[in-house]
Amino acid sequence: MKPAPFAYVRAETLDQVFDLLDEYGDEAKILAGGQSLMATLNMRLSTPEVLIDINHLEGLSDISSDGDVLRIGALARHSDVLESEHVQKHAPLIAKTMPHVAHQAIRNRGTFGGSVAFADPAAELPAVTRALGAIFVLQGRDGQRKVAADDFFQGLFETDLKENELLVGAEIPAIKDGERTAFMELARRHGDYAIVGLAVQGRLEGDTFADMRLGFFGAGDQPILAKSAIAALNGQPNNEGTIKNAQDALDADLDPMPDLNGPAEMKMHLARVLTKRALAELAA
Amino acid sequence: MSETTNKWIGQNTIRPDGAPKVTGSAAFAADTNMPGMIWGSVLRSPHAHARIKSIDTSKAEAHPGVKAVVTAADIVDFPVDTPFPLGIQDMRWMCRNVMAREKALFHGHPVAAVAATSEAIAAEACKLIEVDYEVLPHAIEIDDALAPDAPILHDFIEFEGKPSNIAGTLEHTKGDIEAGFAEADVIIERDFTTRPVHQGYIEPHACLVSVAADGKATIWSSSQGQFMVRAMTGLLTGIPQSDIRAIPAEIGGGFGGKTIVYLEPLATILSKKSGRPVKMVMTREEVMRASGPTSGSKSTIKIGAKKDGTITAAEGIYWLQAGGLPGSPIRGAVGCALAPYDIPNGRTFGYDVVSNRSKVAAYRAPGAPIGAFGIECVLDEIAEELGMDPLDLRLKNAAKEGTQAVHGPTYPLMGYVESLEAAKAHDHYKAPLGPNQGRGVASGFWFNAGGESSAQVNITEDGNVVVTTGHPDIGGSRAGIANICAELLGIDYRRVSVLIGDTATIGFSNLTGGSRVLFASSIVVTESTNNVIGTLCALAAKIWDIDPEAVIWEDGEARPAGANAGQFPPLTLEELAARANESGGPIGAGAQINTTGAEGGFGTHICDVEVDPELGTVQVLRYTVLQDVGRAVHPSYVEGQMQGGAVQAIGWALNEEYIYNKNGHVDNPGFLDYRMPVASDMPMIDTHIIEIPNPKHPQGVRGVGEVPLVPGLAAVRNAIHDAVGVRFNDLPMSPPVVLDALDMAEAAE
Amino acid sequence: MPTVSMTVNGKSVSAEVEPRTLLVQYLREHLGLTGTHVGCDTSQCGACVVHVNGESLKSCTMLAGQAEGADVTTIEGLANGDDLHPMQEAFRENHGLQCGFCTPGMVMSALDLVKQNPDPSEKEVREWLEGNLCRCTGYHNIVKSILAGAEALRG
Repeated sequence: MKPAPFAYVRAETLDQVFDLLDEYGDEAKILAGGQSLMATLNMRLSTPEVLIDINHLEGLSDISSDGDVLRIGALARHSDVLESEHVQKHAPLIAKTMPHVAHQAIRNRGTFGGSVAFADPAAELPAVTRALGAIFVLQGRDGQRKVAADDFFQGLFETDLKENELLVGAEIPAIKDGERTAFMELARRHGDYAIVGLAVQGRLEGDTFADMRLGFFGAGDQPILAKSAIAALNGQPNNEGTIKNAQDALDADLDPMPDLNGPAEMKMHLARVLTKRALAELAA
Repeated sequence: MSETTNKWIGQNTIRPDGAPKVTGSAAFAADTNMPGMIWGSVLRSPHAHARIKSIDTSKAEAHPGVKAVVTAADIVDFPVDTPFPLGIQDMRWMCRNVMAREKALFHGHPVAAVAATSEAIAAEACKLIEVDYEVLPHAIEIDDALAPDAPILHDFIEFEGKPSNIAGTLEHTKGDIEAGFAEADVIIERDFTTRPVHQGYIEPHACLVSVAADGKATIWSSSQGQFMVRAMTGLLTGIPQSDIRAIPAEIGGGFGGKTIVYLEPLATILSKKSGRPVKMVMTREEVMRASGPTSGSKSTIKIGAKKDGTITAAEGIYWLQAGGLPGSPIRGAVGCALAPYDIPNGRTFGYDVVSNRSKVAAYRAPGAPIGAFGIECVLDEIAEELGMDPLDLRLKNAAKEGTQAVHGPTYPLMGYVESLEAAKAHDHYKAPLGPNQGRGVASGFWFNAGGESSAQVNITEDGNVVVTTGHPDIGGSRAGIANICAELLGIDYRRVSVLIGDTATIGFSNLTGGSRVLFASSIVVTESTNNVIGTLCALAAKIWDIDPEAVIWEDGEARPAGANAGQFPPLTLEELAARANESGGPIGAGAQINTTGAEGGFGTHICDVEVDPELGTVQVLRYTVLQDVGRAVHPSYVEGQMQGGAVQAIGWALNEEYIYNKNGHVDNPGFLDYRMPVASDMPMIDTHIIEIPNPKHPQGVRGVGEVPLVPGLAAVRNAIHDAVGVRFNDLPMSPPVVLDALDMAEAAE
Repeated sequence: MPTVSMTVNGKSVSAEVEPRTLLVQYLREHLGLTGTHVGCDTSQCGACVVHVNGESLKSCTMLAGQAEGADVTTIEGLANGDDLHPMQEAFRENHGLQCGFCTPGMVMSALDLVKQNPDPSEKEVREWLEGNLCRCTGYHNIVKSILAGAEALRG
């Protein structure tokens, strides 16, 4: 099927983007990699008046690092993120995640910023940004503001992005000595959206968990930082009792939605199993 | 494989359509365009069950760009009280399936179609058609349709004297079932369900139809039978078959799903009305909502055996979903279920149940996997109960030459026992298993079909060969036909060009279905080629002025034989072709035969799985398919059938299913949520070809393509049981289902 | 309607198309390059994979207008006259197809794989193919073909 008719503008400048956003409001859609948007348009689940193609905006696809902060431009393709040495060195959790994001033909086109801004609760990257404590850079006509991932995601496909703002990049604290990572997801079929999954970063001081961050996807209406589970882990020894406490604490953190993959309680069970396995991987 | 002196039969030659398909030049149905072409689009029912009170198409017809509109009023009606069979179909149901007549019977049922100057305009115009529906309560599942207060889909269907959704039954019996169970030391009875699954061909249905000013129609479409397209379109449009030329496009998969028409009659009427060529292409969503999957089913299986494993009686009762119109594959279910076994007392019984789903279509051994599933599961349980190896239990009861099957026939020479023995001897069966890993086996049968086929074999003036047959090539049959013709003529296979003729250029040939194509094609091609060889020998005899009986054909040339041996230098095919006029003209021969002797096929599968008991996931680790194929004319495409069938079975067993919501709409009408296996889900599929040549076929060919789907559901299920000790009797064994059952098993401990 | 121009299989092409035209429609309907197939509406099947500026992508997920000025390669652009590309030859020789509908997308995906990973393992091939559905072969001969094609390309 073809999408419903729309106008298409290849934006060359940010001002052009903001002019169009001002003019069309929610009748405009930003087209980045298009790997979710095009299918939505093809199925006519979305019928915008204008598509603003931002792929040709300068300077938004860079991946760089100053040693403390890793910066990923919104237009960096998943495949570029996957291959980036900066990412491998400073955000190994993202490097672990990327092979699970769809498959290559999609990764070649899909963008880091697009995935974050689309805020699909079952997608990997939004949850990973929460686990990493990322900060997003949002560009408006009059300047930039920075919003922590913890405040950015606000509901089902809902974010703090205003109608006339554009996500231009993410700032990710570089991994510190002693920090470890783990990534686990369960999908019905390889490359599918996850039924449930999590990304973890944190430290083991001797045998004691510290600075733990657990970001879950497929576990609610938005990517979730599992605060209760984190509280159950930090300062506690890595043993069966602690793991069990963290698993039990997930009840307070997660609120999975029943769907074609199964009932909510089953997803809670899966989240507990994956948490145990992710913590074992982290400690390994 | 058995040793032969064949040069080409048994060789993995390069397929004639290989280059076009790897370069993108092969023309599939949606690839053809014509000048002046317009686009057709279908308006589909938004309701699962509704009476159509009226349809007003006037606004759509007045819409700019619209050239024609079609409704059921334009389609030939076949009254419900007069059966009108066409092959395994009935035109009463076909005419109501291509376009809803009295009622919309499922969500997505065509109600009208529009042709317009663009696809977008046609789709927009569909929305302008006003349909007055009386929405009726719907029934989706078998139990809903059989409930005492179930909505009745068709008031003309009665069962046991009452209006019913049971549209038909079929029974096979042998011996005395009660006496058989009385002799048994162990009796196991279980209930099973299987879900409807789609054939999943990657190419959506598509056609281009041009009805010329003189009324003659040309149809390009993707189907499993251009003659089926011609016949059904003719019957549904009232156009004589002699005025329809159906041209088979390359077909992007079918597996049975393209053995009936959906779009062709609509496009033909739209083209006739508009005077323009009309192209129609389904979306994947339309394919999933409105083309036929195979039936969902429920069944009750009861088998009794003596302590030594001898089966004394077996019974299988099956209910199969037909969709909105009658015609589920109960014949395959009740016929194939017990077919691998020599059982003294047996009974199978099938019910054809209509409900508000899309009408089912054939899917690879239609009904047989459903029939085999419960039987092969109960046999596994009996083997465990008796402490027997499951292959030994099957060997003990295996059907062989001379066995009278429960479904009737007495078997000729065939290789079921050999498949079991090969499985027992296979490395795979002896390989060690790790924790949470398990191994399952199962067997299966499919009837295989013969039937009508035509072929023409012509020698070109430069001494090469053109073979024309009448069956769409869905899995490499042209390569097999080239092997056979080259073998008979004693020439390089690359000199044989194999084409699929259209309905105007080759004689009637029945569907590509029933695993019949290579079986039947090779009979007509063999007869044609032998006639050509006779002509060539006669030409040589004339040139040499000797008796034609004194000429033999060897290694691609005519040689004088007998008393004349060595008297003249041989005449090659090229030389004879160049001198064809000396014998009276062109060299060629055709054959049109209703082929017989397509005996059934048997196979046995071994499956290893690993279950993650905490996540409910099942990974297939290793899979081996062992099957008697008669003669593997082209082994690689024989193996391809075995591998492809096994993977479809794994998908059916583990993940595939239609999910309906409470409104009776399919909730997963696309490849996103209808989960066919991807490459990383699968291991390499090992194959073991057994060749017990079919004595009724010139090359010993037996049908191959359908058997490999039949054992797979139970092989996977029995493997999961071996891994985790839980017997799953309901498909699919998807992670939520497995998890649930394992939790329950844990709770029960 | 805007005019969209790009290089397809080494040739400059140009056509007036509606903005909503997908790259796959541009290739099939405007350029007549019907070797790129459409099997689904939701970007799962992979029958429409082409290369844009050297990378494989699904041409149903990109507007024709987005490929303005791009260098596009389709299945029709691989062979050199009658000489098949080694990956095409590998599919032909290893019987890596039955119906052949998924084949162009498989070949195009495979080429992107071997460009990045000239000597892939069976597992790497299978994981790479997660975005390409085949219903005929059970993937067995496709995997074999790609391994053989990769070997041929390594020379």
